[in-house]
Amino acid sequence: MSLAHLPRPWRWVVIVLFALALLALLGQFIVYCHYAASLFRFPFDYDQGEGFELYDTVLHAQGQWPYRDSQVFPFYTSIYPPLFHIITVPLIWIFGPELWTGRLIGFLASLIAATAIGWGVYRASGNRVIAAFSGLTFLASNYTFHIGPLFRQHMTMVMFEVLAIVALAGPHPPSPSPDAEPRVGRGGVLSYPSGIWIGLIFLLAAGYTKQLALATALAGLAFLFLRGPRRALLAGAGLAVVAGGIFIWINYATHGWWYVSLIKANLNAFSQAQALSLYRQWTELHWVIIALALGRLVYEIYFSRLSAYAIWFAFALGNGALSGKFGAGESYFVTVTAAACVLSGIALAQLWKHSAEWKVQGAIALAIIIPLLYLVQTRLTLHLYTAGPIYTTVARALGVNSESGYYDSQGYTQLGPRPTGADHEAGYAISELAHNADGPVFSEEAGFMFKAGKPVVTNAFPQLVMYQAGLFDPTQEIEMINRKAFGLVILRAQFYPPPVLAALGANYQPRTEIMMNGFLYRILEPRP
Amino acid sequence: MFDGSRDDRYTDRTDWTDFTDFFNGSPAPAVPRSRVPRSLGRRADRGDIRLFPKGCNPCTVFSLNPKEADVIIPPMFTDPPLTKRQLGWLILSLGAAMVLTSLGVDIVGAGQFNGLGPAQRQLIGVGTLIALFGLSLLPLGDRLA
Repeated sequence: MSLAHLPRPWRWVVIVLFALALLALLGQFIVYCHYAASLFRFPFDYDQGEGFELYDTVLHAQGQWPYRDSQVFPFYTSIYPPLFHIITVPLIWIFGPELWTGRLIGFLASLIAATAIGWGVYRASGNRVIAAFSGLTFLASNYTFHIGPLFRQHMTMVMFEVLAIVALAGPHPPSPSPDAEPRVGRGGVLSYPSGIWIGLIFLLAAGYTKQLALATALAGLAFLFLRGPRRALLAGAGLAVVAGGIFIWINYATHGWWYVSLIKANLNAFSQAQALSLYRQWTELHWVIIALALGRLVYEIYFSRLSAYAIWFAFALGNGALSGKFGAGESYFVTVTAAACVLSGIALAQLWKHSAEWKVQGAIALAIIIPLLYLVQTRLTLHLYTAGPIYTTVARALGVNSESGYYDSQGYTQLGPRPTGADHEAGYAISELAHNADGPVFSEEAGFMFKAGKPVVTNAFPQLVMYQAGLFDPTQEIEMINRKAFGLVILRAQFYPPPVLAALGANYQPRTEIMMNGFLYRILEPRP
Repeated sequence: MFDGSRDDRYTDRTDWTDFTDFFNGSPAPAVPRSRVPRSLGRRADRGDIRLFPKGCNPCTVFSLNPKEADVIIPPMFTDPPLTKRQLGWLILSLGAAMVLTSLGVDIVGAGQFNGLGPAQRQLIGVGTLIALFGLSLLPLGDRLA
């Protein structure tokens, strides 16, 4: 349907509503860019663990693996696959160990993912406006906003996931049509459409960016299985051989520490309550696109053919259950949010297309409802700063003033507020203390170490989960603590094994406490 | 013996090559280069079976009997897409397997607990839902999944 089908007065109402929805989504995008730019300028850990990912990248840049025996000095290992870090390596070679490098990669990954979402919707429906809305809705999600511009591998994984599914969906339009049949060739696997090859490569890339992409890989293969079981089995076997070969090679090169760090250390305790809580929060924030995506999923199951996007949405929805793992969080729902954006966009675009055959009243109603739905969805995920020349006015107009200077419809969040000048000063103050300390510094965050010129020692969270799993013996670390071998201790969340914390308490005393990004950093020095 | 118009989805295609004699047992026709649609690719020049339009399986398009197909087409696997009914059976089997596995845990004695534990109950519940979902697909018949 085109707007020309609508009576003139209604046409203008629809145009104004679409313009308002676009304005709202673009407004959220500007806030996202502002947040990203603020983080690029902040040289310390904003989210705990960023500095360790930077250190992983530095090790890769030096031709070393970060998968090591963390029971010996410097008590360090990484629990994430290497691809994100390897992608960031060239920036480290050029600009040195800076946190903005990986943050930029993450931010660009979110933009590419949003573009791919829009492209997927456009290719399936031919509707440019709803395609653009779908991509912008992904960027407007609180979850995308929070973790996009961080030095974390998660958004790069989501980017590869989206690209994989869009590529796989390429030869198979989601709507029934004669062209929806897979191409049958006699040349074996080499005759597969390029979209399948590209999709499989992106699936491999997603898996080697973060293990959580396994569900998307299964979704992609399940889609291929529906369209041609033999081809899917061959593709799955090929993917398993390549992925397994890389896995065995890295495991051999790291003397088995890859397997311990990547697999065994990630089998954490599960909390059903935590998973349900995160499901509830995700649903409350995204119920518009979730309802539309579920509706489209049911339609494709019972009245049409299943598209790659629908299968992906179903698998990603189930995969959200892993958010109950110790240490997991909202980021586990970014993939399903992306899938919901694509599927809901296709649902609305198809309705828009079919409304050309409806009565005028029905077409008008749909044309009004679509932008209203995007407006409601944008309001659900609203997040903006409430201080500043423009922000204050906008926040007041929207009735979302906040004393903290940042409003988030999710409620209190650690991520989202921009680092202030005081946060910068606090970071430099902690780095200065570390720089002046004798010997290595036992720090729960690695970002300070790069500014202080000290070696990175320990990686708190992996130590804790590996200790809980019986994979980490802290004897040597405690022995060094007892010798007061560390000139300074910097603690934030105290995510260390209890015996390590006890040893720190026995041998180190408080020196000062510094607040940064809303967190209290406890600085300890050796007891006399 | 051959009715190229049987499948009316393809009767309006314009990029056909004339291969009627080919199906009637005559040697493969010499196809002038100028008559080979660009979409068929270079192999069409050699009288290859890929004279068929890109993306078409000649067996399904022209309903050849197996003997004819053997003459014309070298043995090859077909890879038809799944139907809703087949998908329903697969999902039903998966759900049933989950339920049976959950119950089977007690039979083999894993865990050594009395009665159904919370994890077992959840697995049985999820398995039952999955099986019911699979069951709901069975009436949809041979429509493509």
